[in-house]
Amino acid sequence: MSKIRRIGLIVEDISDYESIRILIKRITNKDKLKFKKSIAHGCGKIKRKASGWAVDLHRRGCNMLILVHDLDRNILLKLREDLENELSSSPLEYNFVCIPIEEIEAWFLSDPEGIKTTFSLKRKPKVKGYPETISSPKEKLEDYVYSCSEKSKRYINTKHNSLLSEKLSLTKMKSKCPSFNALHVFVSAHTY
Amino acid sequence: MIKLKEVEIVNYRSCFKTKLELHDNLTTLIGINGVGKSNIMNSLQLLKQCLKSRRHYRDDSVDLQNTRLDLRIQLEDSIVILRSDIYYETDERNFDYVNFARIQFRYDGGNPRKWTKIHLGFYDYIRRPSENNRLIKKKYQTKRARTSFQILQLISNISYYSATQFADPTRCPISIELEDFRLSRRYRGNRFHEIFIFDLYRTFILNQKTFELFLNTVNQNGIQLIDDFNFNVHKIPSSSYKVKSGGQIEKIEKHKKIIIPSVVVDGLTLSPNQLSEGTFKSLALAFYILIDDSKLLLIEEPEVCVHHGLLDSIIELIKSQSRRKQIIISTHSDYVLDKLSPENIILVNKNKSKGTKAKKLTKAMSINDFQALKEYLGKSGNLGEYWIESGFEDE
Repeated sequence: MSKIRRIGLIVEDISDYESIRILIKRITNKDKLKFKKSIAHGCGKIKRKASGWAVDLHRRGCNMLILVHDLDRNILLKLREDLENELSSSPLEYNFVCIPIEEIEAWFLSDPEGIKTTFSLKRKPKVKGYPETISSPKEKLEDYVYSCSEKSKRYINTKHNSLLSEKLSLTKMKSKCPSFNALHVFVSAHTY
Repeated sequence: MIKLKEVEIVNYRSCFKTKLELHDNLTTLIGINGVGKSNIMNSLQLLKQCLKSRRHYRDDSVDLQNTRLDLRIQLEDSIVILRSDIYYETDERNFDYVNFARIQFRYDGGNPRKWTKIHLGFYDYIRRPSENNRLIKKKYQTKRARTSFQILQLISNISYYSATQFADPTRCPISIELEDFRLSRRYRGNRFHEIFIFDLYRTFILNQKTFELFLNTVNQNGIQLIDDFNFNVHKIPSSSYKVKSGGQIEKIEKHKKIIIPSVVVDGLTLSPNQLSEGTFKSLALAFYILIDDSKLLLIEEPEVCVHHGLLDSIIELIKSQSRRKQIIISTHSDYVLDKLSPENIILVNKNKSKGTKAKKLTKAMSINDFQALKEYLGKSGNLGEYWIESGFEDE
């Protein structure tokens, strides 16, 4: 198995890029890992441009590609099949499709204690059930931050997702979110 | 929650007869320059102006410009049709001043000829909620009176933000002067920079928690525009004299307050007029999105002067606040459109004979075209890109 030189990330937006980059650095415990990005600003463009971007990321020196696409209202198996097809001709050595269910914010809801510390909230959010079963996790997280800060703080995903990715417990995310666990397993299986 | 469902504007600038259906949370007006997006926004502001008008209809009122606005409003327990006939003048700065307005409503599905005029007493209640409160509540306990009250609550809480209002931060005062917690006369009027500083100060004094929310959103805990915002207050003695009968002179002691705002950016303490235009505008926009207790917030071109990284956060703020209040924005930015869904979009266009026309994107496109758009968004690209490259309308 070759050593990973540089990781290419295909993501929907810049906040996803920042979050995934930080999480991978934490999983691998390698702070100096190099990344290149292709940002779609929405999910539709990912499908159209994934194969082209894969070629581009390969040219830019990446030998591992991780494509992140929120599940949103899609059907998991069908979406995975479509995205894997898009990457079937990828020139990169290692390719992985990561589908957060329903979106990346669900992962963050695995660690209410961490959310409380990150935002210095007055109380801990009471998150019920498994995070990946929560509908609209972004809105849910926003409501938790607003109410648990006694209406003095507003969660803005574009700024706060990277902060949460740095602070929250990977163990909790891994145990409560199968989609994060899959990413963890894939990333951990390589040498950097 | 009160929701404005539908608006019909008759005879307002390019809006000869313009009807639009609004989304419950966020509605976005798009269209080329000059089609009447701002006219739609301005016509809605006329409604708020109606509350300031206390004149009665006179024969010479017919010389004024006359607009009619019909609104379909979802209240907590019913749907009402609001009809407002507004007589107004426009000054040299293009601001409208309402001279006279007649506002009446009827219940949807009820007798179409039975209109209830909204009683002027309610205007006072909205203006000065602390006075007459109990009296008015006692006097008007019918369903129609409660409806009038809810309608006026909506109208009095319409707010407007435009990037052009906050252009050129050097026009922002480095201090403001207050008399009895009101802006001194020289600052009154449509001077948005001063009013923004005053609104900030008022929130700082009267509602610490809300000010904290604003600060936490724009400082390093949030979108990182600034580090801190402070006010220094200086009391200045100011006295006047009153001559009493018999020739005695009475000295009246007063105090004026000089409020000096300061912004901390990268450790430097600056006056607001030293901020860049984009930072100043974004501060004002974030403030009015977050703090404003309006029920209907109108925002024109939030993208002006804002870097796309910051614009991402501004759009997220708008989207998140639209869960709490109804927001209408207008935009020319495909980048903004990329962040929205087709259901939020209204296409505005104009022709010479019919004036401004507005149609929901979901209705402007044929079923087949809309399906094609949905598939494109799912598999190929983004909404803004589609707007630029393919367009939404039949040629």
